[in-house]
Amino acid sequence: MVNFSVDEIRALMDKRTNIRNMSVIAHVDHGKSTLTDSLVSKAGIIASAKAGDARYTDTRQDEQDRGITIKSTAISMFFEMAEEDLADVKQKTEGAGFLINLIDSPGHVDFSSEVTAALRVTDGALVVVDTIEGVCVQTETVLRQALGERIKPVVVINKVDRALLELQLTKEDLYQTFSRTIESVNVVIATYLDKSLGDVQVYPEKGTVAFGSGLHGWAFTLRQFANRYAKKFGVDKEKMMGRLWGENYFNPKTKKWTNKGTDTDGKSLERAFNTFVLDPIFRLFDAIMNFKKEETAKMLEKLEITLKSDEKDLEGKALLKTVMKKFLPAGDALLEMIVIHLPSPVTAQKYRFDTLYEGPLDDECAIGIRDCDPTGPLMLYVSKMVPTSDKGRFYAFGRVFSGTVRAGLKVRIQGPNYVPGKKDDMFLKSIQRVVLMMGRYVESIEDCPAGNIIGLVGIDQFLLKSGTITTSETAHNLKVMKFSVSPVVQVAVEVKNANDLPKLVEGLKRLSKSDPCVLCYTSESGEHIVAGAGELHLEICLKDLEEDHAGVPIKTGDPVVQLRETVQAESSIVALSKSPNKHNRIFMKAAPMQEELARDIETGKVSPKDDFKARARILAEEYGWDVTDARKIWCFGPDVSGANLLVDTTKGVQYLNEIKDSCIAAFQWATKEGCLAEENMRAIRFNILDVVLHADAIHRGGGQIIPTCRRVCYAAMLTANPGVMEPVFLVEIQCPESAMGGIYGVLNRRRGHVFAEEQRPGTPLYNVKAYLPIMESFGFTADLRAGTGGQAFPQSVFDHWQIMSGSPLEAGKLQDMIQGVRKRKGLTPEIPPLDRYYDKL
Amino acid sequence: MTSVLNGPTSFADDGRTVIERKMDTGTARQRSTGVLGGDYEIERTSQVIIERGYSKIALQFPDELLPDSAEVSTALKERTGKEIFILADTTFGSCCVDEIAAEHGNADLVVHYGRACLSPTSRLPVLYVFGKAPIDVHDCARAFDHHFSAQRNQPVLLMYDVMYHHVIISLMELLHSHGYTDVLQTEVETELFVPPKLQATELDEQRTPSPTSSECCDKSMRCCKEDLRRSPLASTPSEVTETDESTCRQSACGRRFTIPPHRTLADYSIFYIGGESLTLTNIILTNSRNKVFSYDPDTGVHREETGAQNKLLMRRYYMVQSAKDANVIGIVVGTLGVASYLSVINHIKRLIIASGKKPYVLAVGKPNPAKLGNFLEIDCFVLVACPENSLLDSRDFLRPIVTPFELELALVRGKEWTGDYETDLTVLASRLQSGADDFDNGADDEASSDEEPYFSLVTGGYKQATRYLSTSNVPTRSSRSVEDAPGQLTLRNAETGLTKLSTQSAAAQYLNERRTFRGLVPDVGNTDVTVAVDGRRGIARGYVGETGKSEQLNQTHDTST
Repeated sequence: MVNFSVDEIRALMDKRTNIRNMSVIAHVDHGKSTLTDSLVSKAGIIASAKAGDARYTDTRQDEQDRGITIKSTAISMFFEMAEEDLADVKQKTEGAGFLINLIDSPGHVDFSSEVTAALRVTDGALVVVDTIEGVCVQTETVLRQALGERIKPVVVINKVDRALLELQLTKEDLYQTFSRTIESVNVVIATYLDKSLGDVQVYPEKGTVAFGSGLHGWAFTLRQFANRYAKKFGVDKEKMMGRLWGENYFNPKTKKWTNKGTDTDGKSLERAFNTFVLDPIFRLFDAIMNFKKEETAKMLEKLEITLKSDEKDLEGKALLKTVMKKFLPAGDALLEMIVIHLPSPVTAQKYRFDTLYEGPLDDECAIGIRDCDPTGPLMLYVSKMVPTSDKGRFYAFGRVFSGTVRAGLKVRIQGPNYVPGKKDDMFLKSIQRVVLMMGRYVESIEDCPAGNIIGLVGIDQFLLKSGTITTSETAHNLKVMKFSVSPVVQVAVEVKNANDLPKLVEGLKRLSKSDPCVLCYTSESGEHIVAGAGELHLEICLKDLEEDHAGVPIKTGDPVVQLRETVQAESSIVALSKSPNKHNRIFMKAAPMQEELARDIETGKVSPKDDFKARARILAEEYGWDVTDARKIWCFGPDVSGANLLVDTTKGVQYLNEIKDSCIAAFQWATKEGCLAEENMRAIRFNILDVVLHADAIHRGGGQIIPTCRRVCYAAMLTANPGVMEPVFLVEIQCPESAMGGIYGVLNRRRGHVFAEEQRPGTPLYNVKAYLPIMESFGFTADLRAGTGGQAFPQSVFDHWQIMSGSPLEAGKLQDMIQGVRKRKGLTPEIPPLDRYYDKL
Repeated sequence: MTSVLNGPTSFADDGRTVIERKMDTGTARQRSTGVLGGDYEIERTSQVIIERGYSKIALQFPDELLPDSAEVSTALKERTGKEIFILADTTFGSCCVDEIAAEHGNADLVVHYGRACLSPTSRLPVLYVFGKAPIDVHDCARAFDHHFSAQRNQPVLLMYDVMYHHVIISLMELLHSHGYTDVLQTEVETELFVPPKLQATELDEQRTPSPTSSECCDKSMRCCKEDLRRSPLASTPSEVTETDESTCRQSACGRRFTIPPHRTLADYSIFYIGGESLTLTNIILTNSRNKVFSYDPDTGVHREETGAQNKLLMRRYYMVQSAKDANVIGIVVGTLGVASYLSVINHIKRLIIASGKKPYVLAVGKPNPAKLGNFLEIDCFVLVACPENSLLDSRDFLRPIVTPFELELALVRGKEWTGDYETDLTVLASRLQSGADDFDNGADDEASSDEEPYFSLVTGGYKQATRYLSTSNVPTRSSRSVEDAPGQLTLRNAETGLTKLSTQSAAAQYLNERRTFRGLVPDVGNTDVTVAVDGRRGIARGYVGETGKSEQLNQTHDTST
C-alpha cells in the first residue's frame, strides 16, 4: 500500500528545502534497480517481500526479460524522517516530510545518454559500486558526467552478501576491499572535481558511504552503527563515526581507543570497524547460514529483532534475508544518506545555475534559477521524452528550475537551436497537463513549483528530444546536454511492404523522440538510417521501431560505420583551381590539424561561437598556431561546427570579403562530402594562400566561386597524402585470468589490441582495456562470450578516430574498401583523379 | 548506369566539354550518306509541307547533325519552293522542339531532326524525322530470346529509341515467328503532330485535362499515361480513354501502345532497344514496377536493368526530403517548348506560396552549377523541363534540383512516396493545380497546426516551417509582424523615404542573417547622391582602359587551352 497521497506530495513540492532530486548511477549489473526497490518498498509502493526482485523501475517487458535497465525511470516518493536524524541535516529544512524524486538509470554504456538526461534534472547521485567488481569503466564515466553537471555523489557499496557468502572474505579483507573501492571512487572524484562543488569526496566516517546488499534488502551507514554505540560508550555520535573507520582500534582489555594496530604487549588489535560493524553481521551470517538455531535466536533477541510467526520457520538464505532486512533495512540507510548528504534544489541551484544557463548570469531567469524561486519566470528544462500509453504521444520530462508550471499556462517552447531575439525553433503554446512521474504510472497535478521533476503533456510535438520551456521573453536556453556517447553505429532500414513507408517515417520520428541519443535520417543515397551508440542500443531501437513506433515489418541492412576523410601531410604543391569563366583563381593548401585540436572542436572546447580573439589566443598558446592566422579562421565545417578549418592566409587581396560567403558555402559542401568517398572530412586545415579575382563583381559571383573553391579544396586534399579514418571503440572487459587467452584471440581476429591489463586487487578478476575498430565490432559480444565460455562481458564506447593504414590512392585493401563505399552510394567506383580539380596555371 | 546518373552533358558541364569535344565526323558522314532521301526523309517531309500548305518552315538540327543542315535545307527548298530556315544551338535540350526560336522566324511548321523526347508542343505543328540507325534485327531477336524464351506467352512491351523505328515492323514479325504471342509494340509519332488548339491561350489550357488529344493524327485520342496505377485522387478519370470495347490506348514517354482490357501496364515486362540514354532512364523511373530489359544495338549488349534504377529512385527520394526542408525555392524554366509548361510553372508557384515558402522564377537557359550557384539564398530548385531533361542529378550542384513531380510530393500534404514516378508535365499540371487548390481551401483551418514543426529526414531533427508572408496576406498581417519583428532592416530610399524590410521577407532575412558581406557602403543614407557616371566598357577578360591585365590574361588563356 502506498503510504502517501498525491496531495501530500503536492504539498511538499512547495517546501523546496525538503526536496531531493537524485539519480541512481553505476556500472551495468552493479544493482541500481535492485537497490532502488528498497526505497520504493519503503515508500510502500511495492511490498517489502518483493523488494530486490521486482525491479519496479524496469518498466518495460524487455527490461525485465533481459535483466538490464534500458530507459531511465523517474519516481516521486514521500518519506518522513525521524526527529533525531533531522538534526544532522546541515541544510535548511522545514518539517520532517521529504519528497524524493528518484531516477533510476541504465548502466550499460550504450544507454549512457539516458544517464546524461537523468543527471541534468537531478542534484545528487547515488553511485552504486559492486563490492567484488569495484570501480568499473562505466562507474567512472557516469561519475565524471555527474561531476561535470555539478552533481553531488554519495556511494553505496553493493552486493556485500556475495563477498560474505561466495568469497568468504575475512573481516579485514572485506575492510580492505571497501577501503580500496572508496579510494578509487575518490580518485575519480578528485580527477574531475569542479571547484565550485566543494569537497565531494566520500568518506564512510562522514556517512556518505553505505554498505549493503540490494538483493537482500539491507544496508547500513556508519552513522547508524555510531548511533547504537554512541549511547553505549557515552561518546559523541560524530566522534564515534570517526572511530568506526580507518586506523582506529579498540583495546577491549584497557577499554581504550587507540590508532595503533597493536597494543602495548605487541598483540595485534582488531580494527574498530571490524569489531563493531562487521562482527555482528558476520556472526549473524555465520549463525544463520550454518543453521545454528540457538545462537541465532540469542542474537535476534540481542538485536531486538522480532520475527513474525510465519517467518520463524524460515531457514538459511531466506531467513538471512528477513533478518537482515529487519536488522539493517536498506531503505532507512539510503534515505538517511540521501536526505542528510544530498543537496536540496535550493542549495544545489545556487552553485549550478551558472553551468545551467546560457544567457547572462544577472538577468531575471538566471536569478530565478539561482534562488530556485517559484515566483520567478518559468525556466524548465525538458531532458527527455517519455512515451505515453497514447501511441505517438509523449510526456515531456523535465525539471522546473525557476517559476511554477501549471496546466493551461502559455509558455515559450525553445528548441536547442533557438537564438534569443529570433523566431527560429521557438513556439508559443499552452501546457495541457502537468503530471507527476510515478514509475509505472502518472498522477495529474495542478501545478508544480521550482525544484521539482515533472512531466508535461501537450508540448511534445514542438520538441524533438529536449529543450527549454520558459515564460520570459528574454530567456536564453538552458544549456544543451552533452552526451558521452555518439551515434556511430548505423544501419539502413526499409519496409518490407512498400505501402508502409509513411508508417516507417512516422516511426522514425517517434523513435528519435523516445531516445536521447538515437539519430534517424535519410542518407544522400536515399536510405533511412538509424544510428545508435552501440550494437545493443541499435538492437533495442530497431526492436522498438518495428514493434511500437512504426508497427510494420522492417528489413534491416548490414550495420555500417561512418568514415572520415583526412590528410596526413601538407599539400605537396599549391593547389589551384580556376573558375568556370577562367577569370578567378584560388590557391590553397591543405594541412593536417593536430588530433587534440580536432578533438577539442568536437567536444566544443574550441567552437565557432567563441570570441575570435579568445579563440586565437587558445590556438596560439595550446596548438602553436600563428596568432594572425588563428584570427582569420573563416569557418568550421561541416555543418559550421565540424573539425575542419578554413583559414585565410592571404595578404592584401582585393574584394576578398565579397567572396567569403561563397567560399564558406563551398567549404561546408566540400567538408561534408569529401572527394574520396563523399564521407565527412576531419582534422584538415585549409589555408587559402592567394586569390585572384576579376575586377568586376558580376564575374566573381557565387556561381563562379563556389564550384571553384570546392574543387580547390579537393585538389588540396588529394595532394596532401589523403587518408581515411575509422571510428574505434574503447572496450573494457572484466574477466577471470582463465578467459584472457580467449579475449586476446577474439580481439586479434578483429584488428583490436589490448593496451592495458591489470588485476583487480583482492580479486581473481582482470581488467582488460582494448581498442577495437567499430567496423570489426559487430557480433563482438557474442563472439567474446563464445570465446571465453561466457566469462567475459565487454563494455564498448566510441573513443576516437584512427587513421587506417594504406593509401586510398594506391591499389590495396583501403582502396578496395573505399571503392565499396562509393559503389554503395551509387558513385563511380574510382576516386576522381587530381586533374578533375587541379588546374594548371 | 553512371553516365546516365550524371545527366545530360550539356547541363552539368562548365562549357569545357564543348570546347574540348572531338566531333566524331566519321559517324556523322556515315549517317549522312543518304542526305537526299533515306535518313532525312526529304520526300516525306516535302510531301507533308506541300499537302498542308505550310509556307515558312524551320528545320531544327541537333549539334551532331548540323553539318548536313545546309544540304537538307537546299533539298527541301528545291522540292517545295517554300521559305526554309535552320535552327541550331537550342536554348534548352536539343531533344525538345524549340518553338520560341521557330516563332522568331514566324515559322508555321517545325521539322525536328534526330533524337527527340517526343514531348507535345503547344504552339506549332511538328514533324519528327528521327533518322535511321543501323541495327541487326536477328541479333536483337536473339537477345529477346535470351530473356523471354522461358515463357513465350508472357506479356512484353517493346519500346525503342526513335532511331530504330524503321525496323520495328520487321522485328515484330520476326518475334512472332519465334513464337512470342503477347508482344506489344509501341508506336512513336512519325506523322505530323499538331498541337490541339493552336489558337487556345495558356489559360484555357489549364482547364484541358489532356491537351495532347490530337486532331490530325488519324489515330483517335492520345491519352495520357495516367492509368490505373495512379490514385484516383490525383488523376482525372477520363484520361484513360476507351477507343473501342476491347482495347485501351495508353502512352508512356511519348510512346503509344494498346493494352488489352484484361491487363494493366504493371503486368508487362519492358524490352527496350537502344543504348543507355535519358530515354531509358526515364522509362525505368516511370515504370519502376515493371521489369525492364535493354538491348543496345551498337554494342549488342543486352541485360536486365535492375539495382541502379532503385538507387536512382532512392536518390530522388532523398531529393524530395531535402525539398521539404527548403524555405526558398527557385523555379528554373528549362523548356519553352513542352506544352503546358507555363501552367505547370504557375501551379508550382501557387503551391509554393500556399505552403508558406517563397518562390522565384529563373530562366537561365541550360542550367549549370555556375549559373545556379549565383543564387545562394535559394535552398532548392525545381526544374520544369521535358521529361528527359528534368532528371538532373545534382551532385555537382550546390543545391538539390527536383522535378515538379518531386516538389508535389514534398509540398502537398498526404502525398507519399510510393516509388511511382511521373515526368509528364501535362499530367502534372492538373495534379499540381488541384494540390494548390487544396492548399488554398484548407488555408484557414491550417493556421494552428501549421506552426507545428515537422520531422526532417535530412537532418534527423525537427524543422520549423518558415512562413513567409504571401503577397495576399501582407496587408492583414504586416501591421503586427512589422512591429514585433526584432531584426528588421530599415532602408532609406531616395524617392519614397523609409522602406521597411520585414524579416518575413525571404530576401531581407537572408541579407540580415546569413550574408556577411552586405555591400561596400553599409551606411545607407549618409552618402551624398551623385550624378550617374559612365561605367566600365568592354568584355570580361579585359575592359577598355584596363592596362596590362588584359594582356596577362590573354597569355594565361593561351597556355591553358
